[in-house]
Amino acid sequence: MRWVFLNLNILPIFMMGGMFLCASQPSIALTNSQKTIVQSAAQQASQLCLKEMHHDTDEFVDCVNNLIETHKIFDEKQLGYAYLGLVGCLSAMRISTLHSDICTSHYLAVTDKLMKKYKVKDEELCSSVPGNCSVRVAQIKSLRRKKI
Amino acid sequence: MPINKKTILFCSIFSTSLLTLLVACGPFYNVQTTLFVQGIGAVGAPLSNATVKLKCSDGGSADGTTDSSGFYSIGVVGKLPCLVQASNGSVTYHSIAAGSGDGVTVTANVTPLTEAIVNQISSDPATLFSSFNATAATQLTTATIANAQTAVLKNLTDNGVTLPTAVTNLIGGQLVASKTGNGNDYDKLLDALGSKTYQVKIIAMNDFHGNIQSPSSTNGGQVTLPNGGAGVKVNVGGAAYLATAIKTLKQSATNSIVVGAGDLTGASPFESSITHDEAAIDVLNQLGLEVTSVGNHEFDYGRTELLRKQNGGCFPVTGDFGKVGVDTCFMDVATGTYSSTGTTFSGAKFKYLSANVLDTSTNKTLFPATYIKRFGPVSVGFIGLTLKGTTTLVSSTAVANLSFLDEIEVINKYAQALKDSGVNAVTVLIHQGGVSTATTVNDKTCPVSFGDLGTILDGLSSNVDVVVSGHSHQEYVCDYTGAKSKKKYLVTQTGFYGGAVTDINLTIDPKKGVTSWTANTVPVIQADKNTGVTIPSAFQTFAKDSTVDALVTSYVNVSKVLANKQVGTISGNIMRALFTGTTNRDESAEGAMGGVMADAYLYGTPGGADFAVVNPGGVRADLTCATGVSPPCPVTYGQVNTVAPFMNTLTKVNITGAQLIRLLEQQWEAPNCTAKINPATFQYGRLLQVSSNLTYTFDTTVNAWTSGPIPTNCAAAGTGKRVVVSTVKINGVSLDLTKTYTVSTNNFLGIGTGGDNFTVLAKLGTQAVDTKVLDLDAMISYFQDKSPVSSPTPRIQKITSATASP
Repeated sequence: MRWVFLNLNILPIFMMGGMFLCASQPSIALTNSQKTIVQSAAQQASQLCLKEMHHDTDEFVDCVNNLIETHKIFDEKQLGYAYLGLVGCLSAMRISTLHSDICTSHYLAVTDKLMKKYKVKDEELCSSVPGNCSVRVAQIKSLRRKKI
Repeated sequence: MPINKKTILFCSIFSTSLLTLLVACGPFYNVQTTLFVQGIGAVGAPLSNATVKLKCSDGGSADGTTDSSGFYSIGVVGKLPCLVQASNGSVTYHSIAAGSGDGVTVTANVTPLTEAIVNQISSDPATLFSSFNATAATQLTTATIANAQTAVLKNLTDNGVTLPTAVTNLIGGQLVASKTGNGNDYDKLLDALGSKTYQVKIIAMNDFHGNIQSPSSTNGGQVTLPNGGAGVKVNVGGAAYLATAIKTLKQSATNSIVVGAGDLTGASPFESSITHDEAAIDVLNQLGLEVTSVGNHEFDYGRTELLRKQNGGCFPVTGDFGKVGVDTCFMDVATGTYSSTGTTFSGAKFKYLSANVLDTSTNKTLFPATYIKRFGPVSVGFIGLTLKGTTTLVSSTAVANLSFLDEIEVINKYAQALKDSGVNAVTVLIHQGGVSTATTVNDKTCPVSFGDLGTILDGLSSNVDVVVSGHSHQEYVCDYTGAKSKKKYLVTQTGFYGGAVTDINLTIDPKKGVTSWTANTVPVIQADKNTGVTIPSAFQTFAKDSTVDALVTSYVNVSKVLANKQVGTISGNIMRALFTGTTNRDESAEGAMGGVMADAYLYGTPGGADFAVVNPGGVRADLTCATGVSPPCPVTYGQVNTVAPFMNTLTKVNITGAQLIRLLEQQWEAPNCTAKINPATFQYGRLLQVSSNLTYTFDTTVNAWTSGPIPTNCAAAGTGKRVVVSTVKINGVSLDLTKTYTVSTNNFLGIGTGGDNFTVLAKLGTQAVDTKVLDLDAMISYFQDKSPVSSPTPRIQKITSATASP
């Protein structure tokens, strides 16, 4: 099933992936062209989907998921979309927007899977979405620790 | 008519004699007499060559001009009190002529301080002047004017201004204005006022949505504070805590005002919504809110209801609603707040602003466009707007005969007018906002995608200083440089449900306007609900305010009585269509709860209908048995309200069978295929929830979504062919394409332009009748009469790729 990687029923599988990542951070960086693709995808998702954030995160999640579905075969674009999804939900969590906790866990799992594939670190990915990277990276690492 | 200075003495003697004669003649002394209003216009320096206008209580008016010393004297046939307006093209000030002097010659100086006096009496002196009449004049009593002057003098003292002992009468006292510092004490006071700066605190909130109780920790009740690491979560919100936070902030400043940026009511929790948000209005009154823009949710229940919120009056009697002391009118007449024996609703003490909302029948704004708050010698003007797109967010009946204008043009127009009237700082209160990717509050790097608000900011003029925003339920404090003006604006938003306020501090130079600012989000951290949490030193906690706490408890108790009232039973859980493994509604599918709602529509429609349809977004909750309760499970009023919270009204519309097919095809024809999508099933669209007597099959393989950021091969409007026409039946009888059927629906779908892309009913339907029966009332009647209610069998069948014929 082509949507299987987004199915919440298999979320624990991805969370396990996150645990693995936490245990051993990859060390190979993205190439410049890959970085550009990731940043461009995150920016595209930002423009299309952040405005959907309102009473809850549902419409935002729908929007990001639609973008991810565009690229069924894993590629750097998916990483950009998923990371924007993660940051969007994490940001919504700071003011406890309804369902932000659920979607943060969801995109953390999706992002971790893709980060593993591309051997990319949190710090490297962070600049693709505006915000305070030291705080965000600390929060993401803290979330991974809590999942263990 | 203007009378020149040289004739003053003669005229004064003549008119005094005339007055004496008239008084001697008995009852005729109340006839109009010629008054002479004179004084000095000054801002420190004389207000020379300024146009002076008089308007008197009986309609009498006259114009004149100040000379180089700022002196004016104008004769007018009219009756005191009169308002005076002096303008030199760059500033406009007002004053009051109300009986000082000998009764015929009245002194009315016109200065920033007389403007402040008038502003104490009216938040908008310019409007008071332009609409001044006998009714408005009744508020200009001797006591009112004296109290206003006392307040102005006290405010000057509070701002560190030393008042000369000789200056006691700002309107009628002697004023010798000088450019060179040779004036009298009053003039020196004006000079001194212009030579210092003043601090003004704006305490801002938005999207309160009637959350008088603390919001849940998963929905607005927690924020993440920066602590140098990953942040720390704290519990926030609740009106009782919010009241203390606001009081604390106000006590820290000489000059302050509490403002809002819309959606303070509407889409509210039951404890407020059941009182038609009178509870929230009462609480906001107690919080000291002074002015707010209107948001889209303030229009949820229409213009008449919104005007009632401002002006007061009980909710009109309809069905189970409109019962004094039960769901409306809890206020005591004398105190204007809740009383167990209350019988009235006196409305919001704060002012709604709607600069860009016009009543199309009068071409006037629904509420005032602006509000001016004066702090000693400086003033801040507020412009209130809602987003232009409000018409797409609420029922068309709710905004009938209202037009929502372009925000940029409106803001720039009123900002100019405010500056022209001498306002020192302009703050826009707008219900439109950006979205942040910050992960703690108060992230001053401002990682915000401003979207539509950014477009507005980029078009603003340099007259604007601060933009307090809302709508997107976000939190940010940003400096934003406008593309057009190249000016830096302060742009804020403070989250939602009262979890925080924004503390904005402006430094205002009377001659230069806003010279600097500081601003911070202040989370309303509950002092007693964060045990063991280390609160970062930059933040403080707040205890409950006992008065507001008691007020909230009173309204919660009111709501409990109604919420716990049993209206029927269910034979098991009745669920909406949900995305797998979530509680998120799936609008692309049929759900049991939607079916029950449609059945209730049909049941409650006066005079009946052939079938009923409900928009899927109108079905807001499931009905479930409480833990440990065996069916039949009781259903309460409160539960049914969560299913149908919008106060929609049942609407009857006639359409043909062919038009019904078109209506059903519109389920998958949202522009650019933007209808809802279930990513697990690949179904897209908004499936109307239908009553039991309408059944049909649709073919999901026709115009099926395949892939892409948006589906690219769904049907364009008017071309869909998913419905299998031969399967459509009404009461088991095949649809007759030429026959006319009566549809029961709600005003969201049936009136105006039709919501959620369903235009057939509203635009093609005939004999549309808004029955005014609330859908909630229909639901309650249905449960009262049909219990136990069970989950219905599906009425809609799907042909999928698996079931389609090869």
